[in-house]
Amino acid sequence: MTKRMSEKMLSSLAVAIMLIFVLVTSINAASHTVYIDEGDGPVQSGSITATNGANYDGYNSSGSGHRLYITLQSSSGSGWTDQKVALMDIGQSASGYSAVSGDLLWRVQLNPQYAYTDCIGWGTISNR
Amino acid sequence: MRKLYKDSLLVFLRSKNLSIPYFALLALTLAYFGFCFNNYLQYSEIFSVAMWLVRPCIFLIAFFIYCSYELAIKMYDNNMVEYLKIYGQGLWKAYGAIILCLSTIVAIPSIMFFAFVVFMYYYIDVYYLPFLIHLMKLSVLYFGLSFIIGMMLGTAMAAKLKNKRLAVYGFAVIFMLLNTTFTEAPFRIPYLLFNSYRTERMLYYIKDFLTVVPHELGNNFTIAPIYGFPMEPIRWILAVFWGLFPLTLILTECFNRKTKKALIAASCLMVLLVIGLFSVRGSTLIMDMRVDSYPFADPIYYMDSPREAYDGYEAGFIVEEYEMNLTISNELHAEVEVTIDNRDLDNYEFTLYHGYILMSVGTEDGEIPFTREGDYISIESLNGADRVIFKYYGKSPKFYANRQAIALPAYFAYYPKAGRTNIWDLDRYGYVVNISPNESDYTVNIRSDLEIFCNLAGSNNSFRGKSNGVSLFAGMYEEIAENIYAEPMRSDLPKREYIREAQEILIDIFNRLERPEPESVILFSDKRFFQMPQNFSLNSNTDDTVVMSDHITSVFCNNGPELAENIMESIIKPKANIWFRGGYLSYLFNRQDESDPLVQSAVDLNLLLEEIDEWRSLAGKFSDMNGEKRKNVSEKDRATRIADERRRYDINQIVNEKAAKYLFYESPRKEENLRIFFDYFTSESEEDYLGLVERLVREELEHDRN
Repeated sequence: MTKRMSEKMLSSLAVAIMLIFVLVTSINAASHTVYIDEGDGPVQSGSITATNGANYDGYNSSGSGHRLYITLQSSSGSGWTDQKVALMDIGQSASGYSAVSGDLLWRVQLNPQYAYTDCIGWGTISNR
Repeated sequence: MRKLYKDSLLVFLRSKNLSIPYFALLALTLAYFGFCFNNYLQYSEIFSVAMWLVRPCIFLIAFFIYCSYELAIKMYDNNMVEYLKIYGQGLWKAYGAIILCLSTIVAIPSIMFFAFVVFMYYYIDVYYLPFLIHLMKLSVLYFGLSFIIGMMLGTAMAAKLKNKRLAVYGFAVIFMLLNTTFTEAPFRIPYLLFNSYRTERMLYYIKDFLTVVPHELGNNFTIAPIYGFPMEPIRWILAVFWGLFPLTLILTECFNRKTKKALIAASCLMVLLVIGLFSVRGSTLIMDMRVDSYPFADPIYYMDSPREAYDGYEAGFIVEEYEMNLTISNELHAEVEVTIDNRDLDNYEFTLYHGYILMSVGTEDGEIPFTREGDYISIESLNGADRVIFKYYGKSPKFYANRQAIALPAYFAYYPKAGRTNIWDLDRYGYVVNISPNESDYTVNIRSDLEIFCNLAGSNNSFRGKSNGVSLFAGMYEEIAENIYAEPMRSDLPKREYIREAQEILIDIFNRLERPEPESVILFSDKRFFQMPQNFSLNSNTDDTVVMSDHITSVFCNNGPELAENIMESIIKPKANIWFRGGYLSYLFNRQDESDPLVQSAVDLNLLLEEIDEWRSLAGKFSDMNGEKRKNVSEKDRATRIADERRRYDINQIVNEKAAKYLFYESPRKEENLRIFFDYFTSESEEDYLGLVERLVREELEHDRN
């Protein structure tokens, strides 16, 4: 009984450590890329932390069916706010930065125009 | 009546399905205030708190629809209406008592919201009266009138739809959804079906008419302090309408024959009047995903228009003098008289943003013919005159000018500018910084209820002076220090020492680059500084910082180094990828993160050259790709192309960051490289920047070998 309990505890601990590791590394990573494929609706990248804003870059593949929005979002911990929005034509890229300062989480969102699901594209968020 | 009122209150309190949720709601509201207050303690952003307060507003409205409907419907459930109608005005008195009772019920949370908002104002310690007035208006419109609307709609639905609960709650749900961003998805369907924006515009027109919470649930866009929450006159008119219109519907149930007909006529007239006022509402702030909203109207308009490039266009004349008489009411009304230096041309071209409707063009001798194509005005002859008078009115979705706020920067063509210039830069995804190369004499007189701040000298909304453009700002905006203008509620207010520090840093940088400082940098700290609303750079990569002959507009000014870097960003041309340009600036300003693994490891130059070659060969594959070719490729070719594009994207950031890191950080010739790239970024050279990178790296490798 005690052995089973300790096995369970060990496996829970291992899962918890893995989860913490994954979360911490994903938040502290210097950049994140998100891919949108055919059949996808809006997709978001992982988050990075930054104190003096973030750079973003995106590309709407020439194989896409429609235009693609790229949105740079920040969060101070209570919901995401759109800091930059750009509409990418087919085969076009968009990039920019936001200089909003403070301890913020940042991510990019890719969202096909008019709720289509035939876009292929990429978006990257990185520290300034 | 008093007895009826007391009885109605008693009925409400004794109905467990009404009183228990109501008291639970009050308790939840108090807990919610605790959450909002905690939010302020953590982030010190008063607008973030206000946005959180507004978010659940539509649920409260829905709750009051429920309460009022369920209270009023008891008369019908208990067959009391027929009895009440026997007495003179009996039903009306009963409805009057119910409305009074509901008003009491609604007043308690309204007062709570009002008190919390006033408490927050005093707590944040800003003491800026226009902000207090704005918060009070916010309380009245969002937490007062909107609750009353919920109450009146519920009562009116009880009077008109009686026991048809399915219909009542169906309408309530539709009303709720129209006051959220839920509509974004269904409102796109007409475009998918007809490939036209017209139906979408019509649907949003109806939605706006039914919107009682202008900052709706689900909206992720920030609130600019200069503007605050949207509370233009039309929002108040609609709020009063949605309170009074249900009342007329209730009254039609209470009276017979002539009075009923008069009430129906009055309600019809009211509807027509409000639709009329709604259609001439002018400039309103629209922050959502529709095609004519603040973030998307201009990008979509210019993406869908034929591409025109006017770089190097010569107007053939300059404007020596502007005399501008502006009236800013619901939108901009302008009469602008320009004096030009050359009266012998066969054709005169001017640029004026297409959102402004040109009514007439004339000289002192009368009106003259003109043609208007989008942003451009063509005039064939001035008949020897040197003064042209433009009369126009209109609005821009982003550069608003109405009774609530004004944000008209000098680089935006809200008044006629000489020649043809682009308004939107498709490559940079931003507004073209459209400043006159020469200075003109300006006389500006503005009729507005707002106190307007301008880069020119003057007072009482009249300004005069010489400049290369006129910027106008008003709203919750103040001169916070001498010649520094900003929204006083912001936590990142600019300071004169930051501006001086930025100037010193820039002078050091130019010394390091061994390049002369531009005049704009030398006189930088003497210029008027206008901090722009944070969301000014939301849909544009060019509005962050703009330096003009006598003033600067900048979104951010947290400290000197950041401002200096933003100014340098506005000086260099965006001729390279963001990762390379960002790297260049961070190494130029010694802002590199030493703990970054990329900074710690050395760049393998041969690998970098291979990656550049690969990147360029992949890029070359798609250079001639256009819409027609795209349609005709086979499925296999398409898959190959997408794989190639993905590979190119994957190595893009690596190549650019490594190149910047080597050239400007590791290289023994890094100072020279910084200079070479400064010259490149400020030149008209059309050479590919990666070509230049490759050349410099190969030269260094060659040098090492020798």
